[in-house]
Amino acid sequence: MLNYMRAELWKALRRRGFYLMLGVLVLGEWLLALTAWVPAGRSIALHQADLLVDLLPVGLFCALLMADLVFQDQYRHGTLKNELSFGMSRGRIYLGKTLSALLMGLLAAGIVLGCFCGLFLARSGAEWTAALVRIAGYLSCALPLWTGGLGLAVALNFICRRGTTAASVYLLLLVLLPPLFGIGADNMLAGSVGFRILNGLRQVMLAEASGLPEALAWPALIPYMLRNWLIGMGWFWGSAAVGLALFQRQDIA
Amino acid sequence: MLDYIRAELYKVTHRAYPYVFLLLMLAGETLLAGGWVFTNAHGNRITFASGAGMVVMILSMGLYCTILVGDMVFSDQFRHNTLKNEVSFGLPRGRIYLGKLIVACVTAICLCAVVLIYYLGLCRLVLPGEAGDLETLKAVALAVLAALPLWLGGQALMIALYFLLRSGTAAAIVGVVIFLAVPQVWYVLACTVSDVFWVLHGVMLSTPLDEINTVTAFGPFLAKTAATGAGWFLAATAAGLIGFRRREIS
Repeated sequence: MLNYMRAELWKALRRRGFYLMLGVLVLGEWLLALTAWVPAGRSIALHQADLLVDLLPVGLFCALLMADLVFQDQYRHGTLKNELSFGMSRGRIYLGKTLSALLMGLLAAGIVLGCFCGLFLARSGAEWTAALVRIAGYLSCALPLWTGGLGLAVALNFICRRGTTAASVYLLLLVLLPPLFGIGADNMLAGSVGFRILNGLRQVMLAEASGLPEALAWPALIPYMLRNWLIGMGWFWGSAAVGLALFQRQDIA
Repeated sequence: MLDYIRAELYKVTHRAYPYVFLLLMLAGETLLAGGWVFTNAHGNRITFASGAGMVVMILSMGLYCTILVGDMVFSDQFRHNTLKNEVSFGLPRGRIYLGKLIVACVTAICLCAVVLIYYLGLCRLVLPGEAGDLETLKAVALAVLAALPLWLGGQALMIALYFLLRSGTAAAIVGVVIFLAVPQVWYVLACTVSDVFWVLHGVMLSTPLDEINTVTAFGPFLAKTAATGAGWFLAATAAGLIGFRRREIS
């Protein structure tokens, strides 16, 4: 398994798209930092750390990119066929790709967040430790959701024949479903069964769960963290189970 | 050109993709309407006006559907190989590009029409009517009319992205970034740095669709969306054509 992952990581690190994505994200952070630096001379660190809260859903889109990284899009089924004919077990292929994508995601998150901290905490002076703790708190709430999204993206990549279909379905699930559930729930009588079902469905959607109320200190974050870990791991293991089951039965031609 | 379009239309209509998409959309709409019938039977009162009015609220979803329609018309597993065949056959690149663009727009409009007509028809059937229903229907029709140029502009953008980028996934993601993220960036920059960014924010494709609920004077709004959509359509097509012409298809 480790050798397989090492091979997958080698492949993924050599794709230009990874560095392009990192570049775009860091550029975006730099632009955002500019907006804080330009008008006022020096902003309070805590406010700037809170900017991160609104940006956390970006990780969900990056999860899609990470899954795409480990699947060489254009020749996907050709390469998969080779791996299978070589004799590798399907479980190992699936888990290997999932874990490789996860590691790439953690690496990317580390780099991007490191730049964020560097850019925003550089001018904070003495308050930077408190800001760092808050950032760590937000991250602990977001990371499980990102992992869940990654699991979903990998599963979709295995299930759909083309990478574009997988990406489109993932984006639809992420962007389209939560507002639809919300609209549906709003139209039900409050407290009725239908309302509860739709509202519940809306709340376990990854994009909705990413929404954190701002300016939360650590103790208040814990319930959100637990909820997000439940939701994220649910999506991750649920999609892994479905994806692996379907992959086992799939006829790779 | 007509023969090329005919061939592309044949390809599109003989794939499962558009029909699966349509099936899922219609099933979703049926489910939504079914939920309302259920809730109406339990004391709530969702009228045709509320149901039809929902269309106006989710007009920006049409932009995301252009990603799928572009994928339907264009993206194949061997996309670049097929393109290479078409180019080596001697078809001029302009015809290839514009042909696929036209077919994508036609497909998008047809799918959109089916989805909307089914939804409004379903609402008319199952939801209780009121006196002002005709007015509501007119308002919804006008809103869709205003959204149409923006959707077509989005479609042109997606086709350009599919032609220019090697990976279909990358095209889909860039599309979502332009539809969703870039307007937010302009918004933040407008609030914090300079008012110039409001202009940029105003010309993005999703902005008018998000603001449609606040529109009072419809004529100017329609003119604005038509101009914005046309601008994006022309600019994206120009960029796509130029990029495609210079591109080495290997």
